[in-house]
Amino acid sequence: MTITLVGILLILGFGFFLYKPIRKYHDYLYLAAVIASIVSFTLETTIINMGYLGLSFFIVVMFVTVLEKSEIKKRLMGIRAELAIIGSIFAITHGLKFIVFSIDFNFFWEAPLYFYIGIASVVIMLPLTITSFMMIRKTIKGKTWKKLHQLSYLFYVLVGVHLILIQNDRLWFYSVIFGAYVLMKGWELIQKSRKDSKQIGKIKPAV
Amino acid sequence: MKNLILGILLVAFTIFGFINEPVKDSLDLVAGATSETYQTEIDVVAGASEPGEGSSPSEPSWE
Repeated sequence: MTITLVGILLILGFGFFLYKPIRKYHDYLYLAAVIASIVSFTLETTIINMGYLGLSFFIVVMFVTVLEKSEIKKRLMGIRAELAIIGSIFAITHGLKFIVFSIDFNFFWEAPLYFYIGIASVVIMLPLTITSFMMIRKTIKGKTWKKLHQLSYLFYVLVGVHLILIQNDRLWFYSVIFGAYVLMKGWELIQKSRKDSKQIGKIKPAV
Repeated sequence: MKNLILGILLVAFTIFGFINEPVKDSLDLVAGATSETYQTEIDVVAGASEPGEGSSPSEPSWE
């Protein structure tokens, strides 16, 4: 929990103050994340292959959308794709590490449910990550891209269920985090639908 | 309002985290060691022993 939270605070700090260089030099950041992931993959336990750092990135990516209009939202929204891609690189490392671990210890087919849910979340995350790269995003129609990225909600649900089913000491923390996200997203949707219905009411009939 | 709630949650969690999870355990994990706070639950499935529950050393053999 402390590791995840410190990760979130660092991402928020770097994101807020260094959003311009993050956007400009994102390729170097991806490269650094890949190198760190490869090194982490070869080590026994690290904050990357245990999934904590990836989770920190995804919590920021998730909650940025539910923030109210503010400078922090503006800056973080501008680097949301970059944060999601870096988070994905770390999440893939976490997934691969545990798949290899399960094969090494012969329990791949007898693992707990949260293990398979974790794999499913990484599988769903892959197309989202690939299509987050600007060069690929440009080749996809806006509507198709938006539809595809609706899958991110399913990804968040799977990550939440994965963490909750592990049932460790941080169960309450994960429950509050994902519960708060559901509530805030719901709040946002209600506000949006109220706004939409008000606007519809204002439109005069054509005839 | 939402920003304020999230800010309060973040600060409260961080304070609570530092109070409840020994800083040493977090630093150990950064250094690459698991602890009671940051153990891999899946180790149990794999048959690995948990911290403090390692197999006891075998009796010395005199033969």
